[in-house]
Amino acid sequence: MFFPTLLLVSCLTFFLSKQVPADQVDMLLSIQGIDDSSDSYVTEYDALYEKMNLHLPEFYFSVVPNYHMDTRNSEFNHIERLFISRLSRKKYSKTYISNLFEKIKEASGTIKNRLLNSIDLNQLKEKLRAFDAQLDPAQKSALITLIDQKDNYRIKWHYPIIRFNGLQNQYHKWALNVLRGEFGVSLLDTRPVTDKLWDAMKWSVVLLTLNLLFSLLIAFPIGVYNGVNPNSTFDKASNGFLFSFFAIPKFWLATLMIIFFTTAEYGSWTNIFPSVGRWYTDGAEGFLSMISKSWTQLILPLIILTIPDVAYLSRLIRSNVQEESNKEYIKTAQSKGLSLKRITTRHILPNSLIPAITLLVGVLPGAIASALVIEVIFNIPGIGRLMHTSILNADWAMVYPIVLIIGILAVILFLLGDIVIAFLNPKIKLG
Amino acid sequence: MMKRIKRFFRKYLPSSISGKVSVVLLLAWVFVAILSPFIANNKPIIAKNSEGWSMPVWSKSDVIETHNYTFSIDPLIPYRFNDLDLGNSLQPPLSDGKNGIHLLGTDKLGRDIAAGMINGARVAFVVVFFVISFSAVFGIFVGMMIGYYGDSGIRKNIFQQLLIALLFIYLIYFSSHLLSDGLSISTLLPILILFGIGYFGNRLLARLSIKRYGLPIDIIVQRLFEINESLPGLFIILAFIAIITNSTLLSISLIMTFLLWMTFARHARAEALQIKEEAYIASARASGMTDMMLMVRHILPNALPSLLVVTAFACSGVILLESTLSFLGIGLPLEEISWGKILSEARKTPKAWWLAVFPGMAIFVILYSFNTLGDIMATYQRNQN
Repeated sequence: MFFPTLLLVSCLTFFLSKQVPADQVDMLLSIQGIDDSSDSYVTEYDALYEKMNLHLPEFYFSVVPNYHMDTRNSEFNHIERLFISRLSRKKYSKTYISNLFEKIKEASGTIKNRLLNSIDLNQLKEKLRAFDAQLDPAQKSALITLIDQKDNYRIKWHYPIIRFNGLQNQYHKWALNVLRGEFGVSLLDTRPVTDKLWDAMKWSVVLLTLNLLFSLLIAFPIGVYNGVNPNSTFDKASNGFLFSFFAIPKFWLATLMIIFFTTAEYGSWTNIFPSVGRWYTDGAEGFLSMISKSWTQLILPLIILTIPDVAYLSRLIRSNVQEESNKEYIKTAQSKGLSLKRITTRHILPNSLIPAITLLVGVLPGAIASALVIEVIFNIPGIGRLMHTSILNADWAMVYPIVLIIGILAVILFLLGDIVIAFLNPKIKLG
Repeated sequence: MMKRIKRFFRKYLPSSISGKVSVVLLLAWVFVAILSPFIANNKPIIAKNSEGWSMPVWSKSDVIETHNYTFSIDPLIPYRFNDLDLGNSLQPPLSDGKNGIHLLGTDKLGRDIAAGMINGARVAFVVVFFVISFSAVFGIFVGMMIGYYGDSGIRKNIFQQLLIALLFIYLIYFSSHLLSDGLSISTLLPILILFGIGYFGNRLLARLSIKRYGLPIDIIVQRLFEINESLPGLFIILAFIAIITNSTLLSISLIMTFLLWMTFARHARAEALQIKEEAYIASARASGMTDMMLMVRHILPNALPSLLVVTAFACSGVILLESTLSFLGIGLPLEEISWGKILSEARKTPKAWWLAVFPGMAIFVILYSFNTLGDIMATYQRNQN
């Protein structure tokens, strides 16, 4: 059950990363200072295109329309590839496109590229008229008659073809790289994705563990007390109070806290917490020295993350404890004359903890997601903020590895949770 | 019909004050959302001038012209949510503006916050309506199927299974082209032909007397559930929204549906698994009811109460997700104003407390109402059993 899930997560992230609207090769080249006006653009583009394995088919099999022309192979260069795929997307038949292409190829280098750069056939026709002097008249007239017949070669009916590609495909190579821990480089600053991920992960782990620790420390006593004394005044009051915390969005709480408690805008006594600062993660400063310098920045985010988790966990622990204390063996223990304290600590708690562990692991994806918003608001350089900035800056090479890594970690954590439960409760057998 | 609805509500809304208050608040929200252009608008609803009576609300033009109305019924809030007024930026609540009083103040660009709140109610309602209706219909259908049939309920021989797998791939192919090519005969006919081939091919292949295996629908969908549980939904949705170039409320709703249908499917599956073991199902089957009829007439009505609880919590989840996305500034179309967007502006201007308090309050009230409703229904059902 573990590997199929991982496999599906990897397929999902891979196919999402293939759907991004930007040209990653072009973005990488523009970081290196090569844009499409420079002479070496096409050759550089093709070299990188092949290096990134983009000349291979995407998956073990592909489902393509029958009018689709395969241009991935190295026969074509970048400009030719774009021209053919533009026409193919408009559903011109294969033979028509290749006829047109052969005719254009007869022209000399610079004019050929200019002709191929046209957006559609109408623009191509205009360009043919504009470059009248440089073109062979026979070639030009042949091209124009071909263009005039374009509507006869439009495909109306199409059907999908399933093609099998073997192991030489992008997904296979990508998955092997992922297993080796190679995710490529960020399109923003060409730093390796793994480095950036690792730096961000430290902050997220610190934030999440502290959050979990504090919320357990607070939620546990409340939950156990309320579970042992149901319908007491404290139980009723805290229950209603905690229930309303479910409905408070964390980003609202954070915004209110920032507005009212980090500035002196509403009286000097409200300026309790430090203002949201800037965090530098250029790697020059060590992680520990950064934490020791700016731990005050973590107080407010931790409070905001902890409050709703306390609400959730204490209600959970309460219901578990209550369910357990209604069972027969507790009555037996009572009739044996055990004290309430001993019953609670020795009988109720160990048994009510087991379901709590499953739910604790189940909280984690949600905790990571809510940490995203908090990290964005408080400028904490964790995984969530990395995701947010990568999306806003169109750094696609960064976005999908993050999703993949979080998926893998979550699946591993679920597995660990199952193992711990099986260890604690011999009645359960792992499937 | 009315009687039935009344009985339904009386059954699921026991007389608790918080339940009644929640229902009233939610109904008010829906009312405001549907009538939003009539509540906050810079054009009068009904007006009269020398040319006669007219309803300027319906006119598309955003330019405010002087019509010399002799009589007009103005909306409650005389501003539209995207009216810019740079002279009146960051005005506190109850200050005067060009069309009248700014009830809840203005933002940095001088847009009226009260009008923005009304539009935020509309955005939230539209998203919730789309997402919940799509994912409830699809999720409950899939969940009932896999819960009722399981992995061994539908028995097909190996050729039939191959045919179904192939048809599934082709169906995905043609429906993806339906989105890009638009509705026409040349896109719809292949799908119809496909269904025809599926129906008759299946019948033909069923005559072969080879060993039959169960169709593994349950195991496949369960893998999807597992992904959904293990991945943080926000990350998946962000990864999906990032690839959409021009987003609309509908496209965002579709992406949320992509995740949320699984919640409905999971619960519908669990309910179907439980209900199909009941004695009355066995007797109904013995009396000659088909599987489909059983599902629609017996399993669905019995699963409905607990699915309503799921719906209530799903509604609050969707609103939270929508406001989170618009708070992060990802996904929602640029021209829309929503509660999350107003809130995100508050972060940059700590002076303007009204930008933070009112939209957050609105989200809180709606979430609290949905949670309360869900909680009341869940407790009621638990006590019934």
